[in-house]
Amino acid sequence: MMSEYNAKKIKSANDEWEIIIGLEVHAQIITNLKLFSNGAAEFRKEANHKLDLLDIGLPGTLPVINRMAVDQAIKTGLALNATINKRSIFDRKNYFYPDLPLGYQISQFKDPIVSEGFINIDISDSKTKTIKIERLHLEQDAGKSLHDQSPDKTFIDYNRAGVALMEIVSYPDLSDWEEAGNYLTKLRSILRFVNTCDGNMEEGSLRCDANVSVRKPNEPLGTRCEIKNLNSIKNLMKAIEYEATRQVTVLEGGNKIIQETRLFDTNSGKTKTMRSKEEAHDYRYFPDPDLLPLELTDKRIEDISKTLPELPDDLKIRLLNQYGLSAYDARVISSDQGTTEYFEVLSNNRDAKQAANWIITNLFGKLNDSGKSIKDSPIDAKELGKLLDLINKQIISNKIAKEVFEEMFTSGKSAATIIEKKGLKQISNTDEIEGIVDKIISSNEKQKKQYQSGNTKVLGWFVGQVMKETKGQANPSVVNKVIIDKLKK
Amino acid sequence: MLIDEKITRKIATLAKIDLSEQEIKEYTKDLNNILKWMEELKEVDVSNIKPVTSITENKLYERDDISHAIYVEQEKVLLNAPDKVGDYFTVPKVIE
Repeated sequence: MMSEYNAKKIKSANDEWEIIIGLEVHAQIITNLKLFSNGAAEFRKEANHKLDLLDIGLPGTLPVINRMAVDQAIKTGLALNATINKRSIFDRKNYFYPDLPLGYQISQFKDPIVSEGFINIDISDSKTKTIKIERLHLEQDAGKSLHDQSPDKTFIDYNRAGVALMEIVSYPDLSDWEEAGNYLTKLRSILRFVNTCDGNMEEGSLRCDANVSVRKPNEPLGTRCEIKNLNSIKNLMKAIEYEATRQVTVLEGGNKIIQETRLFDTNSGKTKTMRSKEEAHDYRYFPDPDLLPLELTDKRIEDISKTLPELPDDLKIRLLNQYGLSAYDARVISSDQGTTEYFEVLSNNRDAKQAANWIITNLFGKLNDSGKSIKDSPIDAKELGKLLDLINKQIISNKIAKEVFEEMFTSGKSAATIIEKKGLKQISNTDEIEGIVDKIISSNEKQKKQYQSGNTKVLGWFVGQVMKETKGQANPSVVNKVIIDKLKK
Repeated sequence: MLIDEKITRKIATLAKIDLSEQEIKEYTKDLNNILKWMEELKEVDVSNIKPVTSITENKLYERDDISHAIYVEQEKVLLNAPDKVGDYFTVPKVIE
C-alpha cells in the first residue's frame, strides 16, 4: 500500500499546527547591461565601476528599457507555465535609502509582465505537488551598502544599482520547510535551464524572502511574518522551521503574532525583529511617467517560446522512459543540464543504470568534496565511459575501478594509463587462478575439511585469501567458481 | 476636510521634509484645495474608458543589450560625491 504523504506540522502538547508559506524570489537576469541603462550588469570587484549616469541618479538622465531583459522575463514566464501579459506598466516604488540613488525603485505593481503560473515539485518518488505562482515582474536591483568598513560611515557601491531583476512571487501553497526548499531548488533549476539567471545564491544573484504563518487545522489564516536574508536553501529551510516553531510558542503562550519583517541570523539559526508594521514603508506606487507601457506582440512571445529548451519535468519523464532509470535517479540527473549532458554521453551504448549510479554515487561525491561543478569535472564523460567499459569487459573489478577513478580524478590521466602503470589488470585467466587456489587449499587442510563437512561459510574465507594473494585483482566470479570446483574434489 | 494636519505631517515625513507648524497649516490648506479640484473630476463617468498612461501615440523604445557597457569614468562618477572614501560613496552610518 502506498503511504499517504503528509506535510510536516508543528506538534505541541495539545495541538498540531499547520504551516503556511509563500516565497518571494529575486532573480538577477542574465544580460550584459542594466535594465534601464548602458551600465555594466556583470559582477565586478572594483566598486562604482562601469556606471552609467542613470545608475547614480544624476539629473537629466532617463530610463530606456533593455530588450534582452524583457525577452528573458518572457522566456522565464513561459517556462513557469504562466500567462505573458501583452501590456504591462512600470511603477515607481518610493523610499529613501542610500543604496537607491533615484529615491525610488522602478518596478511593476498593478500590471506585471507575467502572472498566474505554476511549478511542480516532487514530494515523494511518485507524487508531485503543484505550487502556484502569482506573478513575475521586472524591477531594478539596488546598490550595495557596506556597514562594516568604518565606525561612523556606510560605504556605497552602485555597481548593482539598476541591474535587471525578476521578482517571482508564489502563492502561499507551501506547507513545510522541505516543500519550500524543494520549490526553490526546482525554480533555480528552471531558471538555469532557460539561462535567464545563474542561480548563485552565495553571490546574491538569487535571493529569497519567506512569508510564514501558522494555524490550527480548519481555522482561518494566522498573522504572517516575512523573513529576509535567506542566502541558501539550507538557511531558508532552517529559518522556516525556527519561525514556525516560534510562532506556535508565542500563540500557545496566549500572545499574538505581530505582523513584521524578521531577519534570519545564520550564526544563531534564529529570526529576529527587523522592523514592525508601525514602521512599515508606505511606498506610494504610481506609474512612472518616464516609461510608456510595455506592449508585447503575439509573434514576439511565440518566437521566444520556440527557443525554450527541454525543461526539467519533460526531461525527467524522458529519462524514465528512454533509459528506464529509477524515479530518484531521473530526478537527480534531470535537475541540471550539465549532469544530463554528461549522463547522455556516458550512457551511450552502455548500461544506463550503471552510468547514472556512477555519476550520482562516485562522481558527485568527488565533485562535492572538491567544490567543482560537473562542467569542470577533471574526468569527462568519455573518459569515465572507458573506465566503465573496462569493468564491463571484466578487465578490472568494481573495487579496482573505484581506485582507478580516484586517481583519474586527481591526476586527470586516463583509466588505461593508470591500470597499465600500476599493473591493476584483473586476473581472469583460469590457469593462473587455479594455481593460486591449489596453493591456498593445500596449505589450509583444516578449512578444506570444514567446507567439505557442510560449513559453506568457509568459502568466503578462501575467496578472501585469493584476493589477498592477488592484491584484489583476481576476477571474483572466476575465483568463486574455481574454489568450489577444487573443494568438491 | 479631505486632508488633516496629521496626513500632512505623514507626507512630510515620507518625503523627508521638515515643516514648521505654520507650514503644516499652509500646506494642509493648499493640499485640500488641490484635492477639491480633483473631486470635481470624479463627477465624470469613466466606467467605460481605459486609464490613460500616456497621451502620445509612441511605443516604448527598447535598447539592444550590446556586449560592452557605455559608461562614465569612475573618477567622474565620484567627482560630485559630497563624501567618499577610495572608490566608495560614503554616507553617515545607516543603522538597520
